[in-house]
Amino acid sequence: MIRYTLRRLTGAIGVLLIASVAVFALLHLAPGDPATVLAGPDATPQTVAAIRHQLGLDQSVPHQYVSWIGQLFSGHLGDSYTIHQPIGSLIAQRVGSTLQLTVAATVLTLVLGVAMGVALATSRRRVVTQTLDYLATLALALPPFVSGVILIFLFAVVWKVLPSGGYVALGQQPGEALRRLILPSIAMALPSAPVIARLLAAEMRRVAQQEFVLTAIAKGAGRRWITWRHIVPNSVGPAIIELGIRIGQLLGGAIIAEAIFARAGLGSLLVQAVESRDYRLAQVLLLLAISAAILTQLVAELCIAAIDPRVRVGGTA
Amino acid sequence: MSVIVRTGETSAPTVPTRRPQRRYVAAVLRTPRGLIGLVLVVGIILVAVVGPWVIPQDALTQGPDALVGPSGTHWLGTDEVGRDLFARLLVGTRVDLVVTLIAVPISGVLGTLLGMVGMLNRFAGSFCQRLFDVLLGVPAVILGIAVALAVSPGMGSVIIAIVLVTMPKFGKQSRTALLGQLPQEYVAAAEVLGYPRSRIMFRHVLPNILDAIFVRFAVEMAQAVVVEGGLSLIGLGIQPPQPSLGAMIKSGSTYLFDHPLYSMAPVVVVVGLVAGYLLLADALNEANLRR
Amino acid sequence: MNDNLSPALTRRSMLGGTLALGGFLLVGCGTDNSSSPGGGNGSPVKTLRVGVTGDLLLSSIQRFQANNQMLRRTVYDYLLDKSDDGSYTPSLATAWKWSSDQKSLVITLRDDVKYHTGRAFGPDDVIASANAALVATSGAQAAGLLKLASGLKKTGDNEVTATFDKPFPGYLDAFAMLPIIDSQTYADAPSGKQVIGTGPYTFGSWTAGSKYTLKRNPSYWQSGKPAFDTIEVTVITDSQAMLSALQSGQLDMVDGMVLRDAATLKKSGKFTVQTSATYDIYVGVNTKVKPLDDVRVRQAIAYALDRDRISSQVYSGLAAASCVPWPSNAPGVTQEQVKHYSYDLAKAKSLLQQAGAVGTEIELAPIPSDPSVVAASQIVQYGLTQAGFKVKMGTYDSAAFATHVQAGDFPGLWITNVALTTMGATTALLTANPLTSAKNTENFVTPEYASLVSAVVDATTDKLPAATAALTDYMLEQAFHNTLVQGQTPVVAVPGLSGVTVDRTLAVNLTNATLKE
Repeated sequence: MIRYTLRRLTGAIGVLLIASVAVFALLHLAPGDPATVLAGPDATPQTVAAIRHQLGLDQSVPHQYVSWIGQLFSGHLGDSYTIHQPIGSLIAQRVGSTLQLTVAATVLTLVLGVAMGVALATSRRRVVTQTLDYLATLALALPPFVSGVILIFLFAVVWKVLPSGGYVALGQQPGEALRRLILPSIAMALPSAPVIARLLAAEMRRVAQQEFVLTAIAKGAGRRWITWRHIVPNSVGPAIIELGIRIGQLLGGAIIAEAIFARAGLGSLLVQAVESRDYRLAQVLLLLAISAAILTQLVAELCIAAIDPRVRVGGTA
Repeated sequence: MSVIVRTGETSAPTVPTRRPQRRYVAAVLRTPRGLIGLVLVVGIILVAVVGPWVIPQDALTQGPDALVGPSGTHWLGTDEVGRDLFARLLVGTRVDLVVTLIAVPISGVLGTLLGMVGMLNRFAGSFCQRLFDVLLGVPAVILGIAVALAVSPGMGSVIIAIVLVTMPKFGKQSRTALLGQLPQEYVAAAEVLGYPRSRIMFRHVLPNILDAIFVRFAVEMAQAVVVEGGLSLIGLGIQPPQPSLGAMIKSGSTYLFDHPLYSMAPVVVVVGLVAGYLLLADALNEANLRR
Repeated sequence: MNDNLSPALTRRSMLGGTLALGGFLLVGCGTDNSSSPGGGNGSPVKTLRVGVTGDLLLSSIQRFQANNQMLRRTVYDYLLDKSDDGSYTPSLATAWKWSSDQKSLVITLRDDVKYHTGRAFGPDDVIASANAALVATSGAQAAGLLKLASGLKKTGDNEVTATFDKPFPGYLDAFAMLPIIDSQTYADAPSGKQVIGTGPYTFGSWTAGSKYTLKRNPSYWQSGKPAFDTIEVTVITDSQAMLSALQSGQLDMVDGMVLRDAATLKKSGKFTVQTSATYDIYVGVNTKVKPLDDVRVRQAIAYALDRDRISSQVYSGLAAASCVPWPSNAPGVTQEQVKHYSYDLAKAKSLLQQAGAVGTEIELAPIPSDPSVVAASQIVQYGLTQAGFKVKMGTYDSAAFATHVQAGDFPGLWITNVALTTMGATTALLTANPLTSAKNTENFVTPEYASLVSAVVDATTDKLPAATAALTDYMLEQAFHNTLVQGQTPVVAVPGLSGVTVDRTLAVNLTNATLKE
């Protein structure tokens, strides 16, 4: 397993290098650059050129790429073009919000998803499965920007029991921080939990048909034991992969949730960077997001190998 | 000859047989779920296709009566520039159907095949997985922005964006399912029999993982509508004055309190479509299980 | 079907789970935090919570633009203020006097002003601020006016004198829009390390893109002011989230709210709306693109704009329909001019036919960062289509849009604003890219335009109305810059907040503001 992990990690570096070229090229191909954005719509061509020169953007594109990669490897993330602060400290300022939301939303998704999935697959009462099915479908079809708006309207504007958004560091005011997390994590978990639940339930139903389960029953094992000890572990594969994908995306920045709930995290920073053509900031953030996704998927695959007894890492594919 | 190590508990061997199409359809219709799902999906498609020709209002005519409630002339009321909401709902549904019925099958086919390609060539398999990692790592909104920078926004860019966002999910899923199938006895049996890997992949493994793929397909049809909505949120979706379900939900959410129909009507359509697809997938799933 | 699986979740565990979730929610709803901190009923509040739609851009503090509207009058002062009737009121400058030949201007300054660092303010600082604006990278529009002076010198302990080769009566506008910066620390301003001015508040902390705080300046030259100890400014880019934050009690005041939302809040009676000076929101026409070089085609466009419907449906009446770029009460502007083009599709169609341009394909690009403009573009597109054009919507993001405005290479039409028109025609004509006579975004360069613009720029106060009227008539006839409405940037606040003003540069002035619970 260690060799496999190392192999994947070195592969990841290759991916990141290629991705960095692609990101760099795409951003530079787009019309406008930090100088035009900083200069403003009323700027004269002289102003734009002066700012461009000040930022070092009038050098050739390959030259800029090489010097940027060189900077990265020597550990310097550089300064943001439009905010004039070191990118490292900008990320440090915003990462707390993203981490908070990721953890909260993931926990909620897991709890709701597993509970719903197991209940869907095992309950013998049609009322339960039907209701859960419909609830799951409803939750799935509600995009975060609808459920978020409804939640804010009900809990913040009408009943005034929860804040409408914002971010507070856990270290400063834990109570406030948690209060501001409730609505966004519900909005993010609502469309994700049913997916996890359905994947889990579908797989569980399939696995339950298989002979080893009958064997275990014949051997006299209790049903609940069979469910949790035998069936669920064999069924988690697709669900964990999906969860890994969702976590990776949350880490990259839940852009829409951050906008609706006014949580300044990495997602809104990335959007701001792309919109203001802040090449350095956008590139670093994108690479960060891709790394996060790769890492979480690796962890997800390792988890499956640990839980599902049939899968061994490093199979033929 | 390769030897596949079986560790721990194994599952019973499943030797799949080919099922004719007709039996699928019949199996689907037999269950209440499949029936409801089929009715929902086909019903919505029919209404969206035929509707605009039947009703007198059209989706584009603006007027001085903005944001009025339901009335005899405007069954759902009007939007902020006086356009009939019911007509826009029908045309928007049409547009969304076209986009998703093009984008998601393409993603499904591409993703599933690319996800399994590792069975044929290890390097290609790893490359595809890494590509999927990159695409999944970039937030969907940013992918949408990137596509819109390259191709001007509109139906084409939305389809491309949905494919980029959705294909990796099929890819990852099919690969995991593949990994789950490989240790099974029937694969060893097929190899012992000398079948080439490609045949094993298409004729034996693929049918076995289809049930999970179908569920995924239904989920992604729903997600595609949400992606389109998210793109509309940043103005890079279907361009106005063309209506789309996502854009209507977005613009309507500002008036949620005074004119809830504006936003809720498209939500109902979305839920109906999604529920329909999911129910269909469930029925197909069960049909798979009852061999 | 599910025989092999037993209900793995007993009723007990489900109940337990639900209770836990409920408990989580209840714990979260601890103290009700929706009221602002401060004393009980009727007592003054010490912290003001403000919402803004865009983050600070500290590398362009002297520029007239939306980002720094909460900064320019709090951390900084101007020399003087321009009021609605065109006269000036003193601030850091106490008096100003033109010489009889109008070729020199003596400005007297206050002698009791200190920077936040403790250093005394003096004439050198005025010159330093002017020079900072004139630097190429500042992008400060005031530079366009400052450079028309031949010199600016210190002529006394509290006096500067500006000299001119050619009289320029509009010069003082420059100082009515120029924050006076501290030359000693200005280099540290863009990163936020040191943002030093002479204003009623000092610059506290800044989390880029998220929030910043301003703290009371105890040694402000207006003693006894300001009233708040702290101002907390939160950046909320999504208009829906901004609305929710105000309605749920998390904010006391919002600057730059979408006008339709502001109107809804005003109608509810629960919030007050403070209007600001108005500015031009227009449809620009790139006259280099055929057949937009034909004035009949441009006039057809002008007749196809349903300004009244835009004003009522998009802006809920908070932006009045107008065909004139300058504020409707500017000297020389008449009601006929304001209503010059009615929504007349028949006229538009016949003009198009005369020009042989029926069915012309044009692109229409609204500025993406303003949701009201995007909404208005729907109505514009509809009208143009009814008149016989084929309209394609152009979608650019903010950076691409700005590039086109600077370069003047839009493929057809665009919609955006010229905020500078709040200062009046003269300043706008000298500094705004869509209006300058030598080169502008519409590529409309004619000797007639140039001479009419010069007439306005050089006009003394008594000649200004006639010169403006002549220019406006010409611009209306040529229809290359079609104003839709006079927009504004209001301040929406809770009823207990009073004393807030918005100056002509749309900067928010909180010097006299107080908030009662």
